[in-house]
Amino acid sequence: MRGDSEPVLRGHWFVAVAVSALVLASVSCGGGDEDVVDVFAAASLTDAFTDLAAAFERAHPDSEVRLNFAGTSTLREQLLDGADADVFVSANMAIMDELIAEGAVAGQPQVMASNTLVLAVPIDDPGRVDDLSDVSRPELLIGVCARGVPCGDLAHRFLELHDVTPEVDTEEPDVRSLARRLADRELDAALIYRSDVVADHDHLRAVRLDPDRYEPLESRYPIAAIDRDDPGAAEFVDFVLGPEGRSVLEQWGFTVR
Amino acid sequence: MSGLVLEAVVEHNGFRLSVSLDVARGETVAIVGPNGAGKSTLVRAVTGLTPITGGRVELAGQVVDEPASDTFVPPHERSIGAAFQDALLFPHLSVAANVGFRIRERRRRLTAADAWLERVGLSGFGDRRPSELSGGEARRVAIARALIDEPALVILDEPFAGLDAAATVGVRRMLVDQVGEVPGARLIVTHDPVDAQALADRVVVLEAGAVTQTGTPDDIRRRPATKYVADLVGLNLVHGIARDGRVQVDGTDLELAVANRTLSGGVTLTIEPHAVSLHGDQPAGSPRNTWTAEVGGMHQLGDVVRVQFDAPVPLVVDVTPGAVRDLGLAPGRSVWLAVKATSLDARARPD
Amino acid sequence: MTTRRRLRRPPWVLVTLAALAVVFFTLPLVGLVGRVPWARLGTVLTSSVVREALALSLLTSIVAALISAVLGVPLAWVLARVELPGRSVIRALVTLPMVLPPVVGGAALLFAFGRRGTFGGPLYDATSFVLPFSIWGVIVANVFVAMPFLVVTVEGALRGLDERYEDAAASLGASPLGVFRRVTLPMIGPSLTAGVTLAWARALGEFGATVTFAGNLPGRTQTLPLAVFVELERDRDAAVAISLVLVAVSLIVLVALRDRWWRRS
Repeated sequence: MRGDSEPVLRGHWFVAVAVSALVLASVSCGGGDEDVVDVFAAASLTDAFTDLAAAFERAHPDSEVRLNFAGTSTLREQLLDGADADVFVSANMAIMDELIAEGAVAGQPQVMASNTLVLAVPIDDPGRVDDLSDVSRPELLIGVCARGVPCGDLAHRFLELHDVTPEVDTEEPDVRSLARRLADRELDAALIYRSDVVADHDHLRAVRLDPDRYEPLESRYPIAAIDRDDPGAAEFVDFVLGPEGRSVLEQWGFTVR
Repeated sequence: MSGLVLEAVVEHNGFRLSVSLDVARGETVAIVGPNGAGKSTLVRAVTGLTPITGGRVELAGQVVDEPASDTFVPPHERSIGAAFQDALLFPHLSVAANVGFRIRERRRRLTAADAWLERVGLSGFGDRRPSELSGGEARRVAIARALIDEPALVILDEPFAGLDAAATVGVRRMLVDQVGEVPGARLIVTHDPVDAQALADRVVVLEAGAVTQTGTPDDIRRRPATKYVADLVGLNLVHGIARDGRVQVDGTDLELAVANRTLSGGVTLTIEPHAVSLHGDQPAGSPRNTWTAEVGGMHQLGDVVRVQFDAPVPLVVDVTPGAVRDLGLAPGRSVWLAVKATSLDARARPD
Repeated sequence: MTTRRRLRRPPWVLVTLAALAVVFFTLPLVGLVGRVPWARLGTVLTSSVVREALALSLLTSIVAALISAVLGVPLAWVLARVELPGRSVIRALVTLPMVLPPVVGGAALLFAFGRRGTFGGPLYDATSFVLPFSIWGVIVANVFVAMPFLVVTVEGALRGLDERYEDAAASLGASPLGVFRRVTLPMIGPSLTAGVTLAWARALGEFGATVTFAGNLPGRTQTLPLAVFVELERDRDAAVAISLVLVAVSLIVLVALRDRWWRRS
C-alpha cells in the first residue's frame, strides 16, 4: 500500500497503453469494403477460381476478389462459426443445403459445374494401376480423402458401389493435399477429381476405367451468395455462371452443363 | 620413493606455476601460501584435473603426467583421495554412500563407510542426507570420503575453510587423530600456519607460482624467508644496510646495533614480537636500541596483546594485558620501544 | 501497534494481469467442457475411432519421449560440456523445430524421408520400407518436434550444475561414464524429468508435422489430434468429446508431476 506509489503509477500507465493498443487493433479490423468480394470455395476449385477471380477483376477494375480455399467441410465449419464471406461454393449439395437450413447462406444456390471422381496415378504409373480393383493391392500406397470431406464420401461410395475393399494408407483432410502427395509419387494411386488431374497434368494421369463397368460418379458444385441482397456477390456469381466463367471451368477439367 | 613426486610447470588460465615437491609415503606435507599463489593449480595438477605443461608428476612410483613422453593418466585412474574446500558431498546420495563412493563393491562399501564414519566421530550418520549435516560434519564426511580405501596420495584442500570455531576444533582433532594413520602420502593445503604446525611434517611455502621456502614447521617459524612467511608466523622482518655492527634501516633515520659485526651490505633482521619491550619513558640501561613510535593498532592474540606500530618501521610487539593497562596503551599513544642487539637476528639479504 | 508479521501485499497491477492470464487459459477449456455432448459421451469415447486414436497417441508419444531422451541427453551433454567449434550452429539447428511451423517440419521430413526423399528414396529402393503412412512415421515426426524441448531443458540444467562435483567424482575414481551415470544424471534428475515430460506432452499434441509427413489413417497414423481435426469436419460433438480425452490425459500427467517439475536439484 504505502510506499509503492511510484510503481503503481507506472502500472496505471502500462495498462492504459495496453488497452489503447487493443482498442486500436479491433477498430482497424472492422469494416468491409464494398468493392471486395470474399469467396469461400472448395479446395478442388483452387486453380479454376484463381483464374476466375483474375478475370473478374480485369472485367471489373474497381473490384477485388479475396479467395479462401479449404475442404468443403472446413468451410462449413468456418461459416457456421460466423466467418465473413460473400460467396460460397460447395463441392456437394448436402453441405450447401445444410448451411441454408442453418441460415448461414441466404442466397439461392445454383449448380455451377460438376466434377468427376477419377482413379489417378502419377504420370509414369509406378504401381502399374489399370483397374479399380488395384486399390486392394497391399503393396501399393493408396490414398483417399477423409470421410466428411465430399471427395472422401464420394470415393467411399464409389468403392462400395463396385464392391472393392481398398487397402488405404492415408485419408487426407482435403483433396488438394491428396493430389500433391500423389504428384510427389508418395502414393501410387488415389481417388481424386478430374479437375485435380487437369490442374497438375504434368505429374498426374487418370486411369481410364471401362465406362460400361464403372459409371462415373460426380460431385455437383452449387454456388450461392451469402447475402441475398449483396450486389457485389451477385455480380460475381453471375460472372461465374456466365460464358467466361464456364469456359475457365471447362479448361480446368470441370463439366459444365 | 612411492609417494608423490612433482617437478612441473603448469600453465593454466594465464597463470604459471613452477614447483618441485615430493611427499613420501606416510609423510604429511603442508602447502602454505596466500590467495592466488597457485595452491589450487597445484591441487588440480596433482589430481590430474589440469594437465601439466612441462615436467612430470609421479605417483606411487608411476609416472602419471609427463608431456615430454605424452604420458597422462586421467584423474579417475590415479590412486588419490581428495577433499575439497567446499565439502562437495553428492546431494543425491546418503552420507554412507558418499563416504564409500570410491568403493565399487556394494558390501565392502557399506562396511568400510560405516567404519570410517565411526573413525571420524559420526557413527550412525550413514543414512542421513548431506543437506542435514552441519558445516563441520559435512567436512568430516568429505575427509572420510577422501581417506577411505587407502589411496596412495591424500589431498586435503583447506580443510578448515569456512568453519566456525567449534567446528574447526572438531575437524582438527579428527585430522590429528586420523591423518597420521593413513599409509599413503598426504598433502594438506592451508593458509593457516597453526594448522601446518599441528599436522605437517614439512611445510612448503608457495608464493606467486613458485616455492619460496620449504622445511619443517619449526624451520619456517624460526627462519622465515619472505615477508609473507614472516607475517604468517608473526615475525617482524626489517631490511637495512649493515656496517660495522650497525644497521641503517631502509627508509628511516633509525640505526640499530646488532650482535653480528661481520655483516655488511644489505641485510634482513628478524625480530620476535616478544623481544621488543615497551616503555613509557626512555629506558635507561643495557638495551642499546631504543626509539619512539605511535601505537597504530592492537588486538588480542590468545593471552597476549599484539601491538602494531607503523612508523618509523612496521613492527608487531606482543605484550601482556597487564602491560597494556600499565602503559595506558591505545592507538595514537606514543611509547618507547627497546630491543637488545642480541635479539636482532641479522642475515645477509640476497640481492 | 503494528502487527508482528505484516503480510506483503502484491502490487495490484501484477495480480490483475496474472488474473487476466489465468482467464485467458481457462476460458477455452470452459468453452470446450460446455460443448461436451454428455449424453453421447459414452458411445463416442468407446467407439473404435477414439480407442484406436488414444492407444496410438499414447504409444507414439511415449516412444517418442523415450527416443528423445536416449538421443537428446547425450546431445545436451555434448552441447554443455564439450568445446566443439560449431557448437552454436548445432544448438541453433536442434532448436529450429521449436520455431518452425510444424507443417513446415513435416514437409521437410517428407523431402528427406519420403518415398522419393533424399534418404527415404534409397531406403525404399533397398528395403521397400516406407516411413510415411506408418506408425514409425508418426514417431519420427513426434521426435522431430519434441526432442528440442528436452535438449534445451537438459542443457540448461547441465550448465547450471557445478562442475566441481564431477571433478570430485573423478578424483574419487569414477570414470567419465561413471561420473555421468552416478553423479551428473542423478543431480539433474528433476530437470531431466521435466524435459522428458515436456517432450512427451509436445509429442502427444503434435498435429501439423504428423499429418503432413505420416498422413492420416485410423488405427495406424491417426493420433488423437488428427482424429479431432477430421471429426471437426464431420461430427463436431464427437470432436469435442475426443478433445476432452486429450485434455484429461494431459492434465492428469501434468498435475501428477506438480512441483517436481520445478524442483531444482
